[in-house]
Amino acid sequence: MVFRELSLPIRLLFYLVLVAAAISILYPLTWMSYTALKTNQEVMFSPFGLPTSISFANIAEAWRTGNFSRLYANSVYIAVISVIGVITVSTTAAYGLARYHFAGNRALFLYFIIGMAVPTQALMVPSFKLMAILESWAKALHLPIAFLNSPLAVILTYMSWSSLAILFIRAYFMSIPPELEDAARVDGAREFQILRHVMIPLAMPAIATMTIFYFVFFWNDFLWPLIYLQKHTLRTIPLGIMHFEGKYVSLWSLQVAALSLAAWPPIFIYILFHRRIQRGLTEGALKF
Amino acid sequence: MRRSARTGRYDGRFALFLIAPAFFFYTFFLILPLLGTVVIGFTDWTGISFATLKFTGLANFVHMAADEFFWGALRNSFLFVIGCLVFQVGIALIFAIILESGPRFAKWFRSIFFVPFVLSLVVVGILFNFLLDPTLGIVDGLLRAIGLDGPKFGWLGTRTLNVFVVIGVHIWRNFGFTMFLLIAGLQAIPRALQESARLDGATPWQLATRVTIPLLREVLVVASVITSIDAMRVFDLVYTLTGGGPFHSSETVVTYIYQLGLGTARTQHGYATAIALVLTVIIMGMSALQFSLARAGKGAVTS
Repeated sequence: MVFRELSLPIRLLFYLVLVAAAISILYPLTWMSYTALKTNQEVMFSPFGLPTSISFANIAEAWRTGNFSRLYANSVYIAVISVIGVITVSTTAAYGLARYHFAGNRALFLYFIIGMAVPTQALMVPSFKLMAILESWAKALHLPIAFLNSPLAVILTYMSWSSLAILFIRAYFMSIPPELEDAARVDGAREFQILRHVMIPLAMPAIATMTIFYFVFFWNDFLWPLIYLQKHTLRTIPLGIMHFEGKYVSLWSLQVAALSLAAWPPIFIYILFHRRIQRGLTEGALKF
Repeated sequence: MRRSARTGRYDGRFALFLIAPAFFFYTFFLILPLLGTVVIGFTDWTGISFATLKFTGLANFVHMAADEFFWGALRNSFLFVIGCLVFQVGIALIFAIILESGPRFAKWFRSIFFVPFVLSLVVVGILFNFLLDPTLGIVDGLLRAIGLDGPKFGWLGTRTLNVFVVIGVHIWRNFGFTMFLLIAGLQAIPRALQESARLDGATPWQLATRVTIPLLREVLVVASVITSIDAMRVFDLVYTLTGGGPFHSSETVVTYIYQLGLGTARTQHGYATAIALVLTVIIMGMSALQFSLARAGKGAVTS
């Protein structure tokens, strides 16, 4: 189908549909953004009107009462550690599976692939019990490690979701001609040096795609922090705003300001890197 | 690290050393809970001490068969799957075809449609709580402006309606992503095929239904399965929009598992896990269906 060859009414209809859909997305986000900049009275008297003057009072108040600096620190901490962890173990495993012939290679690969079909939400009760058991063992052994009410439980859970990254990065390693490795080997490079200095740089596009995919996933995840992080000082952004909204029910302006504080940074980053993010998320899913 | 220049790529020990860390995390924190799901589903285990673990056979499943809330949750989850398959994939397909035909600002529209997908579902849920508010929300405000009334108990407080509203919000957030999957599929179709059909005098409608969509089948299957599995696992949106209520009317399978196992009740671990086992079987079945369908699709396209 070529757009400019369509009849005029059809083209107009298509534009109308596209514009309507775009408004349905942009309006709520714009409403949220300018409402966050209104004063309390203005929000109550004209909830949809544009602000007559811009006030950052609610934003500042929401940042302070919602303890957003803590929420952001927690979210960044959990997402960054988990992404580094899962991408590192998946990359080395993917390389081992892609490039070495040994008995059981195929079986190991299939074993890792099971995880693709497992709905992780279904594991919430056994996972919680597992962490509780580990916690009780750590206590019995007087180890200074906490599993419950600790980011560790969330990070360990995220690090077990390696199936997709292994599948994706392994496929990429397999597409790299073996001559490159063999040349390095002839030059006397050790196996680990080959991985570190030849193969990982070559596989960077796949590793970057997976990094974006997992980061967005971990950043937005709600269920696992909800299960493991009951202490309010440990909350991540989604968990934090959920509690915030419950606490200040009657203060719309403050609630919307808090919501904006959670929504603006991802939107801003998306505006800056939209092409990479679109590609990262789409390619990651299509591998599935 | 092991010197292995001579044995080269046939050194399995080095490979196992590379695979071991991923194997450890995957086995202990994914496979072990998965096996746990299978075992705990047949018990009435509540604590964490193995001494209290008692097998109850099929009792949980018998209970499930008579539990109207479970059936309600399952029905809502299937409504979610069907609603998203028809509308999310449908809307995404229409927009993908329109945008790929080359209208002005196509890149802008594409990028805008993708925006909600980078937001967390909690943010989306809270945002729509505001928009759908019965007194201050824009949706009811617009309806009042044209002389209509929104539902008496609000969009999210009215039984049977609320599920469809949550499905609508889910589609709002995700259709742009599905559209990107389909655009990737469209771009993989050789231009020459469409070009020759066009020169043979095919109308745009024929082109879409006879050439483009059949060639898109493989990606369409993948997108459909991602969409339906996503819909089957929905949790965050229901939790933030309705909390499963009023009176369990908008509960889905995952929110119900959470309620029973880790929510306010926190006691029915065995029963919650039995439901989780049913969910796992359903989703694994859907994945298996995908792989076989995708394979059949591949055959149809290449032959």
